[in-house]
Amino acid sequence: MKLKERDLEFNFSNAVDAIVFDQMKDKTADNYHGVAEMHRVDFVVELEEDIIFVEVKDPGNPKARLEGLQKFYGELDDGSLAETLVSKYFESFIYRWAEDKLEKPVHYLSLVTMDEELLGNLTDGIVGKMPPMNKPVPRWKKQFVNNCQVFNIDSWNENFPKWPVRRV
Amino acid sequence: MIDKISLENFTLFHDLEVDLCPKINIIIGENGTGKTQLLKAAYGASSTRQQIDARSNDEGVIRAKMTERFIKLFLPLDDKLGKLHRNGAEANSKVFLNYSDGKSIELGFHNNSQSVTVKGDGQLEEALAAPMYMPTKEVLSFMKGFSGLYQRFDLSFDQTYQDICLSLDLPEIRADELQEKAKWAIDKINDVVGGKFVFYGGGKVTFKSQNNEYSANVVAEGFRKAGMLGRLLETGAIQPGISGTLFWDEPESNLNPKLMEMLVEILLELSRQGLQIVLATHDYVFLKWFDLLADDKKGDEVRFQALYRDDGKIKVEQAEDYKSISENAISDTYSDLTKAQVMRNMGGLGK
Repeated sequence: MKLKERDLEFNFSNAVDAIVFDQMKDKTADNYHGVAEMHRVDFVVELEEDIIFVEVKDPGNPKARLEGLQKFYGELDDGSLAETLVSKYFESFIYRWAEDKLEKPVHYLSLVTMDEELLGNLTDGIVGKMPPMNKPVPRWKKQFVNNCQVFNIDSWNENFPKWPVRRV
Repeated sequence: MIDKISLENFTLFHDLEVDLCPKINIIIGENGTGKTQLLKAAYGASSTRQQIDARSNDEGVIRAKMTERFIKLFLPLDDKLGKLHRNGAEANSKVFLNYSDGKSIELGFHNNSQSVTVKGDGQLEEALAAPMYMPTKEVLSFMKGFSGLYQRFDLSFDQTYQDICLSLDLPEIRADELQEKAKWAIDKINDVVGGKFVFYGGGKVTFKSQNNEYSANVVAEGFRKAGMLGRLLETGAIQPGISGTLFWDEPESNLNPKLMEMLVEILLELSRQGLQIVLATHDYVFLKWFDLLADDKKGDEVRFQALYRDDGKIKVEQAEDYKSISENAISDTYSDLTKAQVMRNMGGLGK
């Protein structure tokens, strides 16, 4: 199943279902989101036994404009990018819960087109703000988020050969 | 300026050629790929006559002193030169340096040689062009009495430690001879470490802040490391455009990542003033600062040399851009971390 976020095309070859989650324009579409006030991830992909939420940021796009890049790196620097990525997960999670479509463990994978060496820091920034804030919670029966990790195109393709991504 | 380093059958190297640029050269590679050996070989072979303590340029004296130099720099088993010959190699060991002014030096020996053969003068007669080697460990905390002990006893420190202690203990050069950018670097270091290291001779070093004087030992190790660079500029042991190549093995060790930015800024500026620098590093942050601070408009030049093993041999991949290195052990480590997390948390999903 192919999904596109601007120039980046993903093929979730073994997905049961895969939707563009932040569909805000076409009110007649099945995947119309309709709550502009809520943050939302780009895709929701359902696999046999897991769900993945996917968020895409493309500062490495050769066509990226200077103002956009300055904004992106400013937000990366002051931590607000990590906060936004957390909000996107949170509010998408609530939305899917309300749709009654959250029976499987959820992974949160972000694709951010920058040097791999910088991705770990962003991953740590996001995980640190996700409940349960890196603490064990004895009363919890489920994980709020399973794998939460940031990739670039190369590391995504290397780790997920069944879900190739390419710039089109 | 060293143009080319060539090593044949020397220690672990079969046949390696490294072309240096006149400014910043960064050697990367996994442990055991010979980064330190490469640095020391080039340092040893670019020594001046004064550095090897040869009173005359008589061939026999030069050969004996250069042999002693390599033994003290590499500390081979039983102090035998032949142990530096690559195990199993049939041909001679060779250490060859070519300079941008056309000069060269070639040292050669075999596994049963008592002394090296020396072809060419290299930098032997260039007293002012002495190279400098900064070893991995800082020395300010133990330099008091170190030189005396080093000469009298068989210490397990290689000679780079003695050399640096002697250079740090030199008197300061005259203020009017101190280059503007060297002074700028010294001030910048003092500013960041919040004081100044004071050298009393005989290896005694203290640290003076605005109101107090302390033992250098109570100061953070990273500050002591930065302090060494400041002092070498003060004594003129490093004089851009005049002194020889600066070799620095793992500048990042014990350095707070925040000091790295300052250090890289200083090294770039010194290279602009004519200092050739060769660094060996494992640290991504350090490399990234070079990537971010190097400025083409100021004529900066940074060349990466990645050492790697291929079919039992050490090879080198050269690149002007860090990202284009395929044999990149530092970058591979990040990739391994990414994979390990995916494997732990997602198992075979997506595979």
